[in-house]
Amino acid sequence: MNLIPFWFIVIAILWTGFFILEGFDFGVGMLHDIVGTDDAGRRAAINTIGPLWDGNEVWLIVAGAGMFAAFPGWYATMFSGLYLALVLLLTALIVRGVAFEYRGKHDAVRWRRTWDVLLTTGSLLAPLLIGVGLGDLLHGLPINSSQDYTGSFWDLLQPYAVFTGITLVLVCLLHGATFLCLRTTDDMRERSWLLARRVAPFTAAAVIGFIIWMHVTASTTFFLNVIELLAVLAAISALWLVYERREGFAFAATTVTLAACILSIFVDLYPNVMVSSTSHAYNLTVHNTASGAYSLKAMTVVVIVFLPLVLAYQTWTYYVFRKRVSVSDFRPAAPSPGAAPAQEPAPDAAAPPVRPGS
Amino acid sequence: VQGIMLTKNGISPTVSTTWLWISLVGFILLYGTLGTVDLILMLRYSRKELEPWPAGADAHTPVPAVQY
Repeated sequence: MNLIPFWFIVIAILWTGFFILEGFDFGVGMLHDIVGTDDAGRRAAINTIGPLWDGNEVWLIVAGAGMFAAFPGWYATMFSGLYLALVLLLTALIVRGVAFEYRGKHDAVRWRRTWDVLLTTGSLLAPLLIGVGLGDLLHGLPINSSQDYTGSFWDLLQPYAVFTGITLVLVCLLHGATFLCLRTTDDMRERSWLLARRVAPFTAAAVIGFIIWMHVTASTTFFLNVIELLAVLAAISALWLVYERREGFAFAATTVTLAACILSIFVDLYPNVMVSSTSHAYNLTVHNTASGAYSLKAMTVVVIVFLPLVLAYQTWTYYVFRKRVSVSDFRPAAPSPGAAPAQEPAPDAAAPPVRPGS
Repeated sequence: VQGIMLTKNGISPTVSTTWLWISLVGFILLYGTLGTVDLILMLRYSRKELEPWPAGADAHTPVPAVQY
């Protein structure tokens, strides 16, 4: 059995899974400062993704590791060519992750506002940079016959790639806003819905433009393929559902939009993995970049065994933290009048601590 | 692989030494700053008193363990 197409599909699924799950994390990160009007509100927004964001980010690591193991030629050229962009991406992800952890560790306005700004910036830059990178794969980069990138950092910032990045940022914003509608209560839920209404038309327009541009760039047929059509229909559906205030369906529609946008890049790319703008003869394909048959076979066994386990525990995590988060959970609790600087009660195994939202 | 896959064969031809230094120094500064902030936070937490227990709570009351 030829495992090369199978592994290309696995890589495409991993990138898609990453964007579906981390997409709303990015969106919440970008919106938390707007949706939360005070510190309690911002904490509530962050806690909607608090127990989930790091698990979602693992999909990116697995996607990168999968590329490294299954298509080392692709990994080498991409990670060398996009070096500076990847360094910036890594910095954005580090700062964003630390912002989650450090923000609540010191009760000072300036401290928390600094981490809020860093969280927003990191959440904006990450999908933008990944989008630019994915757009570059499809549109083409200067690559020579030795599969080496011959351009500079500025060659990465071609209009199509930048537009791909902007589109992904907008879809993540809408995805995050619909997620916040599902996970928050009262005023915060209203504000999230209003934000979704404002963002939705821009997102739908960007997705339609992105798909048409991609089709013109990469396809030889007149009509859109199924995945491209799905992306357009899902974006229009998301717009309509947001205006109809069907929160659950709107979130499902943004999920499909995001998935279809990412999958359409990989569908239009195949059998190439990186297009060479120097000469199509130098394109990196699944065949001239793949690992040996034995490696692919061993990796397939690992994936078949462990992927169901990962999916199971991640599903369980979402089930445990399924309840809505309320701002009132984050208002400072009044200390009991006679309470001494407290002796913590003995832990009770029957009453485990709970997080807001659990 | 000893003798077959040499370090010099794995060098990225498109990443200049300048960019390697810039990124290396950048990450050292970033992690150094974050490590310093972490140390300050740990010292501050080690000197801090426990917060008062919420009103009306006893050993059987689940208390939100807010993480963020």
